[in-house]
Amino acid sequence: MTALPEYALPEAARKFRAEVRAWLAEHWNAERRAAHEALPATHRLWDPEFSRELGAQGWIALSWPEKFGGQARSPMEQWVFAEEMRRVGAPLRYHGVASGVVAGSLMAFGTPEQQEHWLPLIREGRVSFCLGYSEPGSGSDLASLRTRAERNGEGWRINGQKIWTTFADEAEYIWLAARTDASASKPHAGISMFIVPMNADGLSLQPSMAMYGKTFCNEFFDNVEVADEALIGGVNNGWNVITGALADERISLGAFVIDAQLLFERIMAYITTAPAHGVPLAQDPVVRDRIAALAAEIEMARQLSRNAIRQIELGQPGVVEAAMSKCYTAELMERLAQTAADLLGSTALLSKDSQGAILSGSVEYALRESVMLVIGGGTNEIQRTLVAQRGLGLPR
Amino acid sequence: MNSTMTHLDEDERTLLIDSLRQLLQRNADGEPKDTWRQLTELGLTQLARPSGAGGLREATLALQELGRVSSTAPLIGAVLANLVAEEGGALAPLLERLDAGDAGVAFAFAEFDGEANAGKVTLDGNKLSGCLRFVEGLPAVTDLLVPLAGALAWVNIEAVGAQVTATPILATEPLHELVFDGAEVVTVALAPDTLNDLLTLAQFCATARALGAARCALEEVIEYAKTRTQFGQPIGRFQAIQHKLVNCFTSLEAIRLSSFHAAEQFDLGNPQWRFFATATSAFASQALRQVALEAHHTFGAIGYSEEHGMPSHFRRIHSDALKHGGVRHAREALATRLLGARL
Repeated sequence: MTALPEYALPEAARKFRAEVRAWLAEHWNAERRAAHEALPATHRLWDPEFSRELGAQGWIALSWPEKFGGQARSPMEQWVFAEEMRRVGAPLRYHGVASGVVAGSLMAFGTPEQQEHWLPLIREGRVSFCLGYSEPGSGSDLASLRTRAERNGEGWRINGQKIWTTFADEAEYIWLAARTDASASKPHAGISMFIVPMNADGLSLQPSMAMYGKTFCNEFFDNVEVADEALIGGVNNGWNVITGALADERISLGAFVIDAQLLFERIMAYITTAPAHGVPLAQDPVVRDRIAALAAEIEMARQLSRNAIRQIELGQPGVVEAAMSKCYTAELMERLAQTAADLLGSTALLSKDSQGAILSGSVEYALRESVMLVIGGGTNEIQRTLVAQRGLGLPR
Repeated sequence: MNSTMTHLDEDERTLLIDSLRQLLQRNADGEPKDTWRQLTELGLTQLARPSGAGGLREATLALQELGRVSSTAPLIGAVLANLVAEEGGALAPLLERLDAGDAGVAFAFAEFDGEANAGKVTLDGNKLSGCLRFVEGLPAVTDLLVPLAGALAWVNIEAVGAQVTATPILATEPLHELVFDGAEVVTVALAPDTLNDLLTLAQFCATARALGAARCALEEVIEYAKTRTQFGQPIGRFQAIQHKLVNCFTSLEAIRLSSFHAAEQFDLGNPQWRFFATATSAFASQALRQVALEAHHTFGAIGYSEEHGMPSHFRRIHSDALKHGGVRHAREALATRLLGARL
């Protein structure tokens, strides 16, 4: 047995999983997947055509209420979907920010006109966004952001800088947090959200690369002008918009435990078949001990992740549970990659295309990527503080 | 497995556990035999019995309650006995005495224990001789079940007149060493797979008890961190304290969830319960001890006093987390499932 046992699922989720698997077998077949995996890392996971196919199937709007053209599927079905997509490395980034962040905000805070304009585009996989949150001086302390939007007649004029943006060079729009009231009593109170086209006059890009092989761009806003319709959720209401529609993100975030499981299963498959160099790896007591320790930890990560979903299903916010799951799983990915490197040595560091590479370079990639899992999506320190204060009731 | 078990719903489960907690509070200073008799009146000896009411889920929750107050009332033995004592079989009289509160049973695995020095016994016809070590729960324990190659021996300690020596150990209550010389026993057949299941369950049940102690320790230390003031503020405001307590909480939540899931899969007859239970034990063995350490660190000297509750949690957690070969045994069992047996 080199696969971990699957969990029993409720009937609806089990049926949906079979449906998703069948659909993927057709639409993300081996040939297409191989062609995608042969792309350079910068272009992987970004595939507008695949997003449109998903859109036609209704699955970009899987979690949306029916009144917005969604399928109103349960959190467990959403989790199953996210897991199945990750299982085959399906490219979801073209519509990822749009469906995971922007759509929820529009549904909760957009005007009917804004909803009517944007939601069909997102639902059908016809529009892409990048995320305009972080700035050189504002990372974890997002509310300190300084990019400003000022009234300019009927519209807005934006100046400032955003940083560390993935796929900014591909996206058509940026989901931008900007300061609209510099004198607000609390920093959170003076922020508003905007949708800005990436080809707007005055918006320039300075690409750079992140360690996990994706772009990591700077965007400079130099008197960028947008109409009033670009403002989402009202003036100075940005903090509520940012924090208000996170449930979808929490569910898809939790599903990344499947990545740990899949990598672990690949490592086990290698260990049980690798040519012996002295004692066969699978017979080496050190290897056995560390593999078993990891298996137990992955089991814990699966339980924490499922618990976060269960809370959302029960109508709870699930914020604390999701934060614990995120912290634990991200650090588990680091340990998994580091342990694989310990057990398999320099061979595991060979790049995907190197001669003699093992496991398609996935250990090498996981070593680099896992760091981002810990620091991205709210650093683990921020998450732990959240759990301490909201989960354990420790003083702020 | 367990096809005729009566499953409890969530309300019944909560009621059972609440009653147990109250009973244990009332009996904090009670005689072990008397406390055990009262526990049997709650129906605990039926838990995880194929024909009984309530399953391994309730058993693990009940064991957590015992762990909170560091009780070694012999519930683990009762749960394990239910796995092997078919109704109407040779062990039926034992079950009757257990249900009536007249007996307490413990398993002594001897050379199958996972622990290297757990003793060794031989069977000559129906006469048992040799030494059994790390036996828990005396005097409430009156009977032992002893796995041997292909057989399980049932021995009534008082009836056969074993030589009993207390062996003080890190745990609050001493364990015992028992020496038998031709003691008369009843034997039933024991398949190798059943023996493996008994060991998996024994470690899993001990893990549940340690989990209870660790959860209690964490609850107490969180309350302490909210009220203990140093440098002009509650120590629970320091990030160094907050983050370590969050790590503990995350571990305990993972173990609590995984323990319940494994027990649920057992109750539902899913053969994968063995993987889930072993994974729980393998992770918990180290993680629970780490929680004990972090709780001590946060309490500081106040929790190091023997008058404080912390030392009893520390002792319970370490004693239970290391039973039956501890983390080494559990990991090797997992590795065997995943990578095949060691040649």
